[in-house]
Amino acid sequence: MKIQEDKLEQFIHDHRQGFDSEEPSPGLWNKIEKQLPAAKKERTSRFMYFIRFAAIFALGAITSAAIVYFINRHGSGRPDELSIQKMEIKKPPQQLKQDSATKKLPQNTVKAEKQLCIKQSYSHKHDQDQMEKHESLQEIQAYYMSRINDRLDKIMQLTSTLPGVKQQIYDELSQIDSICNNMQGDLKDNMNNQEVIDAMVMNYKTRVDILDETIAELQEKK
Amino acid sequence: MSFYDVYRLYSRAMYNICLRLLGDRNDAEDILQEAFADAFLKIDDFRFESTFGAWLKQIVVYKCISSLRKRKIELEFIENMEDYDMPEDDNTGKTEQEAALMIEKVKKAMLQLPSGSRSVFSLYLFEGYDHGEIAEIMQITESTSKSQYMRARQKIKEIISS
Repeated sequence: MKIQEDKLEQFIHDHRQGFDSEEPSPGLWNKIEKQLPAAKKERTSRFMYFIRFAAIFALGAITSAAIVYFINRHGSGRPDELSIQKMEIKKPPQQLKQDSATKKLPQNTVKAEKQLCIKQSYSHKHDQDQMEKHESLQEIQAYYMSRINDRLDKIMQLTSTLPGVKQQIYDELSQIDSICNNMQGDLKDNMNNQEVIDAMVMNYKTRVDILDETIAELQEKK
Repeated sequence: MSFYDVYRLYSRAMYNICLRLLGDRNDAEDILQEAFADAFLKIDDFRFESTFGAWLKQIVVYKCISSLRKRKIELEFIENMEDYDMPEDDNTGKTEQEAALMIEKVKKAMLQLPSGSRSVFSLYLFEGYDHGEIAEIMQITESTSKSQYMRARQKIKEIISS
């Protein structure tokens, strides 16, 4: 049974971050690194992708919390006084033609999409499998990008009178993009690695989930 | 993402756990180094059953408690003490400066606790373990964990109010 919270407990809970202010010595990493075999230092493993997803999930949670905060604070339906730049959400290439003036994804997402859409040249026959894998991946990407963009459209509608929320979502999506871009880089260098492809698919699913949660929060608070 | 990135992501939180449990910077860094090296070397043992942070924290906590045991053989706890509560008119956390001051007071007060009581207090209030888990980690009974937590809490209040 949890002990009823008293003033000291309340204070510590309220200021929990302030208790984690100490930093280890800058040289500590070098000591740790010396204990690691060279092969371990640079490896890309399922674990590393797990960490990235953990980061993405954390960002999703931050986004939801931020939405609740901003709506509670500024969500009266009128434009608030925060001065922010207009958020632009960019569509994938085919949708951009239809709707390029209004909504754009953060710049990194566009760059990532471009990277994904670049056809690699496969000069040898034994690269056939790799090419098929690439084409299959492109189909998966097209499917998920379409789902992601549908949700972004909805979010733009729901936040049309909440520039603070819009900016917050924009910032969080930009951070998620930077994580995704690293994965895209790994994928480019490591097309045969099924783990990387699985990780990419999981990444898309995660982004869809985060956006769904964000929409649900916005609809609930409207 | 490299191991260094992972280290950067978690080192601060893990170092503060070590510091709260061990109460000494050098000891905290030694355990932190050992815990990260172990975690990276045994990365293939990580089964995705929890978050990596929780897995790493478990390694850190067990290493800290084990280190305390090696030094003290038996962890020290607070004997019986009278109930004590913080005065109602304190200024705890009313402004940022007051909050920062109070954080330092609590940190210093924790350092004055016997190692066992400090560990129970830290694990329960800061790391979110329940008394059953603390009992298992520290090899004490659940009721000892509960009573030591309450005594540690009272002692800290007494120190910071004095």
